[in-house]
Amino acid sequence: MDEQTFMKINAYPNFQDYHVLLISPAVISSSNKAVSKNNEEEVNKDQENGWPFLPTDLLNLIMTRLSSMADFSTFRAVCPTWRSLASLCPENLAYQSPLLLLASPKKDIFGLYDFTRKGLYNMRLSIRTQQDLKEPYSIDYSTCLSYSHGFLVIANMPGFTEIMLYNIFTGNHIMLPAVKQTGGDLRFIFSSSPASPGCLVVMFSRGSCSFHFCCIGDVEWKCHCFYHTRLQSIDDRIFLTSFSPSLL
Amino acid sequence: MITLTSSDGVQFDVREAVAKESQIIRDMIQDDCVITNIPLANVNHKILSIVLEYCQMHVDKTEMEVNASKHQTTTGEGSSSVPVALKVSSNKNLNDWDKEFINVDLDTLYDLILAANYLNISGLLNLTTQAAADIIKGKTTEEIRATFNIKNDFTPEEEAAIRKENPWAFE
Repeated sequence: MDEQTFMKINAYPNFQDYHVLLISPAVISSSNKAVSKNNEEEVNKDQENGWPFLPTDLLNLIMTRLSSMADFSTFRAVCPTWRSLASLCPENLAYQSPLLLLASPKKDIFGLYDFTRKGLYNMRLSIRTQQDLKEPYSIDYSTCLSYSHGFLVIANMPGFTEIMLYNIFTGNHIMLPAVKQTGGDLRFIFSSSPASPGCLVVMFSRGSCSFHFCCIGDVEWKCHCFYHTRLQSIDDRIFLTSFSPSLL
Repeated sequence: MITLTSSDGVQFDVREAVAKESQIIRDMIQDDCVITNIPLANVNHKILSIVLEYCQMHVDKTEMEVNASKHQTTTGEGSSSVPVALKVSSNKNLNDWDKEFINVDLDTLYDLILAANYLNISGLLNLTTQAAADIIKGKTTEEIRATFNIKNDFTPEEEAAIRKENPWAFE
């Protein structure tokens, strides 16, 4: 790790406040299929010469030799042909090295450490959403509660009532139903990628006796209560702690 | 000896082993063993000479290794450490040689990628596409467009979607 990176990491005091999570780019998308190759362009290749007209199968070979998310996303932003080739599908993303995510429920900043570039990228979570263009209604989402499938679960500070999913790779937003009571240590479990249809979200506080759940797009949470039990989670499974611990 | 003729009519006489670095030529020779003259319609003499330089070097190195291991088997197990060291150093030399070899201008690199693909020389295709990827690495979008002479023909809607993506990477 070079000195500059070390300095950047020093921008994260109280390191114990942060979730440190190794994330694999390949899991950020589960529903998008690879865009079928555009064969129409190859018809003209005899007349055209030079880099902009490199056959797509060869361009694809070059693309798969990029090894960091930053280079991959730059590649995607060059021109429409390159973009359609480097679609955000697991097949393409599997070539990119994992990133280390630094995020904290107490801070409005998250960091991504890139192993191949040996660089740390910081970003502020001051994301404003406009619900209606005529009547701008914006909320600052500035705290990070959890991470799943490329999405950060973020909420407005303090005492979050609005919860949103923010995809750090695609920039897409998905709203979750508002939370009435604000618990402390909220946990989230997703049945699949939030971008895929029919994703079920489970939300609960560690140590509480109930959990909330909804599908993406629902307007409110449904609640399920247990009696004389405490909820725990290990690896996306909820454990009920009572006289005899059992698995849900 | 096999004669390879470039698209602009220049003839290259090469050993069969060197020509066989190309999968497509290897298939041709296996199908019909009397072929001695192969015209290559998609490769000009400038690129073909560079490709053959690559093939020649890799064949020579492989043959050197084979000879070294033969030497090892004839001299017995006592001197086995010498050929291993030789093999390691020759691999290292070959990588260095490849690195130096691929240090060419972008137009040549482009032609080499097409030639390696057309002749189906997997080692050269790996080397050239990796070189192109290395050129892309660490550059900004604008720099890549300028380097490869690519026009930015995104629609404004697409531009907006791109700006939204991976904001942390473009800070």
